[in-house]
Amino acid sequence: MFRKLLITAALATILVQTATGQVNYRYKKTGSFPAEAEIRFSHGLLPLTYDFDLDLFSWDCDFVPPSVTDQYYGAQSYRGNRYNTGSLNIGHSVKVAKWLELGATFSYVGSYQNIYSSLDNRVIDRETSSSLFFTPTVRFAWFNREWVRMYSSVGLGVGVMVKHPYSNSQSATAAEPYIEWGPSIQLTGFGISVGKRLFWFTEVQTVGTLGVFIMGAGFRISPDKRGWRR
Amino acid sequence: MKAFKLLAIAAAMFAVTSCVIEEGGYKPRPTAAGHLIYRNTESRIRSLTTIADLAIKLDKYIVADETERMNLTARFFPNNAPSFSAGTWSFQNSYFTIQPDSKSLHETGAKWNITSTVPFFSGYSAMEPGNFQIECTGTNTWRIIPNGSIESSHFSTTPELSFTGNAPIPANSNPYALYDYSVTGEGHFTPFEYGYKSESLIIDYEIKSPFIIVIRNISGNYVNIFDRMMAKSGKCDMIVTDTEKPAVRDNVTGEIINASSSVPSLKITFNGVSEIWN
Repeated sequence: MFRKLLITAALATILVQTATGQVNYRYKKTGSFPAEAEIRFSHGLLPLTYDFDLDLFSWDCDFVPPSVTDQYYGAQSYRGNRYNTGSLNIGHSVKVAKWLELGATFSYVGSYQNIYSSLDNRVIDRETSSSLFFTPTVRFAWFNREWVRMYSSVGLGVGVMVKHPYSNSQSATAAEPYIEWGPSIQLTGFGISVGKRLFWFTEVQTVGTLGVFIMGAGFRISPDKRGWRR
Repeated sequence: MKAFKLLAIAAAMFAVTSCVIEEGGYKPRPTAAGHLIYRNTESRIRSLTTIADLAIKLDKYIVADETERMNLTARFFPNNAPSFSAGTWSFQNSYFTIQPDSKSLHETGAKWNITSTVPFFSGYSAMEPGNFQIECTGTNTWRIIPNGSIESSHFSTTPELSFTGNAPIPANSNPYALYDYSVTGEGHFTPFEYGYKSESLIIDYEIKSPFIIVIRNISGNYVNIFDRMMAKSGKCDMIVTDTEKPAVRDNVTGEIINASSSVPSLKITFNGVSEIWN
């Protein structure tokens, strides 16, 4: 599985670079390449990480009662709120056509949850997870003005999550930390950026490893300012 | 300056959107674990009392004449008529068999064997099937112990409980009860419930103040009769250990208080913290 994910990520990266190279070559020949690159810093709300509870969507009503042992240890602790950093993203992209940008985003998502003793309310453990995602992204700008751009995008890459779980089970191996690899997928229905060299942007109608609502800022480097008006 | 603004904007966004994505879980009461242990222990004591009570009632049935047997069947075994075959008594709609010796169970020195072939449940708690020996140790006093090993891969039971039958209860007062019992003794067991999960806890219990167990005036047969038994008073110390976690050693004390109430309260002490459970 990990090998497949690596191959997928590598292919996505290579294809992005290949496409970039093709477009660069074409524009270089005409001498009017609209060179524009941008760097984005953003924050996403409610990113999907690999510990997302798919059972929320399960209609399976089979109830398996817990063992007395699990009930016993379960009654001695309780979980506090689970806090999440959201996704902290840094992305880079290159404009290869008036309507098309290719790039990639690195993301970090962290979460933690304290476990308390029900006897005296002290913290007895902490469950944490840290996720890193690398997401090559294709962005389609369907509305282009000098100050405002609107776009949709799709990204596919690879991610890794390091989790330190807490378990009150009697199993000695239940609480071992583990690493999980998986895909990084991000679909954005609507994104808008406002600004020129320094711009603010937000993305809604999104779902994936970067979050369901993304907001951030970035700046553009465009040596050839005539190019982007093509 | 622009970089500073950018950082400020990013910090502001982070402050706004970093969030609680899951509310904290239900907080159990501080003595909830102790209550669970007490509940299982009391159920175990009531289950053993029920087994002993079954044998003691059967003894009354055996020594009665035919007319009296009909009355006792209607009173004690309305859905579980006893029958005798090859030295063993069995009961309709039930999984108990009893092998008496040559003596009446009301005669000192009598030793009867009781076998159950399925687990039986008292509320959520369960007791594994096994063989027990009930012995008459004096006037209206009996003792129940395991007959051989009842330990299996998951569960173990080693009770040694003594029952003293208080004054016989007339049929017009409670048709289902022959005696109320004062129960003393100790034992250890592995608790389990409906799930039959692998369990690793062991409860060592010792009755510090006799449990007064009464039989409530409600109908039922011996498959679900355990809920008929009710502890009215008593105090029990329990030590909880775990076969898979050697460091675990918790102390629990359970005491029935407010015994005059129809629903007695419990005082549970778990590792030094006490609470009242109603």
